[in-house]
Amino acid sequence: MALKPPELTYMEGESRCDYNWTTGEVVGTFLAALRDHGKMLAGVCESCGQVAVPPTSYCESCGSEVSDLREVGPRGVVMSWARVADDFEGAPAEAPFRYVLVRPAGADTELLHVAPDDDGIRIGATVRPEFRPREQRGGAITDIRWFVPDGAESEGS
Amino acid sequence: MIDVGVVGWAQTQHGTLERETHQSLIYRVVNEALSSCGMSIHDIDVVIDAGSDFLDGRGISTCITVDAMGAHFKEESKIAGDGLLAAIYAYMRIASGLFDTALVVAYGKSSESSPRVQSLLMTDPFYLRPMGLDATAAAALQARAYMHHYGVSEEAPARVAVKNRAAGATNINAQLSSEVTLDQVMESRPLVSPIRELEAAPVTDGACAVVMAGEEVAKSLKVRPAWIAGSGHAMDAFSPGAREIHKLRSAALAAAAAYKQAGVTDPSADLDLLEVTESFAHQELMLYEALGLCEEGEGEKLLISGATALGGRVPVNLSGGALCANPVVATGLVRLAEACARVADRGEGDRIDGMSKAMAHAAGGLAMQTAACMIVQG
Ligand SMILES: [Zn+2]
Repeated sequence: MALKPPELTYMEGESRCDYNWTTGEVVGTFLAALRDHGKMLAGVCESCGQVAVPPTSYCESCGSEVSDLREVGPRGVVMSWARVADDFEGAPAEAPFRYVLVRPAGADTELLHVAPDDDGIRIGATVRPEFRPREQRGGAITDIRWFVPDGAESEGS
Repeated sequence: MIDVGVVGWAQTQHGTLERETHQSLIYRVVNEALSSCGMSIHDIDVVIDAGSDFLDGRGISTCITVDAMGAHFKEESKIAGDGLLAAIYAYMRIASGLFDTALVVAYGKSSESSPRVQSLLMTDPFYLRPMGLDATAAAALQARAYMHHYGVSEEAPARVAVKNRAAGATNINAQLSSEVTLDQVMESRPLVSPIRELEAAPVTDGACAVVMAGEEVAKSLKVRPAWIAGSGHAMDAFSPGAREIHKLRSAALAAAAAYKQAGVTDPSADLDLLEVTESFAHQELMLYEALGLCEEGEGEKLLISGATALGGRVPVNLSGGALCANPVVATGLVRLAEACARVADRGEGDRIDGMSKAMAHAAGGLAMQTAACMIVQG
């Protein structure tokens, strides 16, 4: 190219768009139960029987419609965890904290959430959800503040 | 079905490319791919491209980049996923007999925004996004589950990084072209533990283009093609918690489809090379297992045996893989270009004697939800 190198290389900008996301019946019922009752509901697949938490409208295992919701937990087992050392914008907890995949009692899938950076958070450990006070809940997955060690080890880690 | 050859390919230098726009990257790589097989844009029937609107910060961004890829006044379709999916799409269009030639383009400039936010935007708004789960955190959960389930040692992913960085040191297009030691990897900064900085792919700008042609056109060209022997693509469930996260079920399904079509019954014997998308080092070990190079849980053993290094029985990522350059969206198409260069007899320096069949693999989504495979032979 015959042009000489420009004195301007970048232009700053942002893409911003606000949404009102429709939850649908299944997700909306799940989030409302967190807010109003401090309970975790799982979707029950009418075809393959998979109990999935958090629930989706259609079974992620066989593709059938999920028509029934059932309470699971509150205790669950840590299936994996990962440690976050540094804070970042929009982080769900103050660093250091741990991401956890928790399988609540009675469920066949795992819920992604956070936990304190505590040695009690390890694969096979039993944890329980700590809900935010009722007046701080907004009908979101973050109405559960995090999962904390229950003090008891589960079988067969 | 018409036989299809990959007749031309090119990739850009990968890195933080401050002077390149999306268009300039695309324009150059398209022209290089076309000239590598003596074709012009006027010889192309259909253009299939891969890009990410979020990465580009523009909606339906091909509307803007169409000029640079020469797709105006032609049929054009875009894949919102890795360029290897675009390659499969183009392959099928030609194999069907409806088109004679196709241009496949993939590009990404991850340096222009925040890779963390970009990957966060892939998540659903209800369950994962409020948790701030990005690609690295999802991969870290996968890594720990995998390593725990099979008793994989802490050094195993680091050894993948050492192997691939050594290979990348000979790749002139790589972003990271220096070797690293096991100690350097193990002592590198934890990102989201257990993943360390040197076990994660860099933030990369880059592009790749390949040209495909049906048998008749391919044989009329002056250059030898890499013939497509098979392809496959599969998705896993979206929610990481709804998958068996210590396994790569979608990769196994994609590979099985490609193997069936290509008549591959024993991948580690029938394939001479694999180029895979290991955005995080542990994923290469998982891929050894999912792609059938070894038994489940034996990935570390295969790595330590040296079978997947240069000169081994079934080398993986002689280019250095994604750990040396990860132009998101183009990474898997780069794998195809690398595979073609190694097996096609074009009188160029890239071919390795004795190599005739290679497989390229691409991944997408959190913790490798999706997988695509394409097998080429010289
Ligand atoms: Zn089901």
